[in-house]
Amino acid sequence: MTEKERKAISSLMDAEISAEKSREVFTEIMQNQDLTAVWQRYHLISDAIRRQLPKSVSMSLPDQISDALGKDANKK
Amino acid sequence: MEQYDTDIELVNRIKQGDKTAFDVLVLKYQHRIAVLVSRYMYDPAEIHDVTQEVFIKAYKAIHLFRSESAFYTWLYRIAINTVKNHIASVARKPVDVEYDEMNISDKHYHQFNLRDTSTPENFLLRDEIEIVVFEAVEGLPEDLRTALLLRELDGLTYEKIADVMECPVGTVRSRIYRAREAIEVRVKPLLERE
Repeated sequence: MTEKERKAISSLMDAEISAEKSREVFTEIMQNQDLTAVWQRYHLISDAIRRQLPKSVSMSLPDQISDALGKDANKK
Repeated sequence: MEQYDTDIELVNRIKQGDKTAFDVLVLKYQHRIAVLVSRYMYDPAEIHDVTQEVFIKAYKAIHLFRSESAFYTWLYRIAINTVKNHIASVARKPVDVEYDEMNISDKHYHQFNLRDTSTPENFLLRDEIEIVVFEAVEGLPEDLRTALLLRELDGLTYEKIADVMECPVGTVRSRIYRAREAIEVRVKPLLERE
C-alpha cells in the first residue's frame, strides 16, 4: 500500500478526482483489503468529526450485510 | 475540478453484478444510516438490525435507482420507509403481559446482549473513537486542522478551501490527506482490538 494510493483514497472521498481516476481507485479498493480498510477508517473518522457515529459502533455490520445477501442469493 | 458523483460509479458496477462495489458503499454510509435509524428507536440491537435491513433492501432494489437523485437521498428514503414499516410491525405484535418485573428486566437484558452490536465493548469503542478523533484533530498543526475541518464540517471544495487558505489546490489536497493520516494512526489500534 503506497502513499499515492492512500492519498488517492482521501481525494476520492471528497470527490476531488476525475471520473477516470475514481474508477481506477475504486477497483484498487475493491481488490486490496488493506485499501478497503483505509476507505473504512477514513469514513469512520469523517463520521466522528461530523458527530455522525451511532450509539454503538460495530465494525462487523458490513460483513453481516454481505453474508445475509450471500445467503439470500444461495436460496434462489 | 468539477466534482464527480463517485457513488454513481459504484452503483453502475453493482448493477453489472459486482457485489464488492456494494460493500464499498456500505462502508461509506453505514454510520450515517445507523444514526438516522437511531432517531426513531433506542435499542442498539434493533438499530443494528434495521440498518442491516435498509442496506439489504437497497441492494435488492438497486436496479430501480435511476440516478435522478443522489444515491444517498435514495438510500435515505429507503431507510425512512424501513423504519416506518419496522415501527408499524412492532406495534402490531401482541405484548406478553405475563412477565413479572424481574423477567421483563431479564428479557431486556438478553435483548441488549444478543447481537454483537449491543456489547459494552461496542458502546465503549464508539466513545473511544470519538475521543481519540477529537484529540487527534486538536493536536494537528493549524494548517492541516483548518483544511480538514473546512472540508468535513463546512463541506467546502478543495478549490474553495484553497481560496480561504490562500494556497494552491494541491497543497489543500496534501494537507487534508496528511490530517487524515495523522488521525488514522491513532484510530487504527482501537479497531484492531475488535
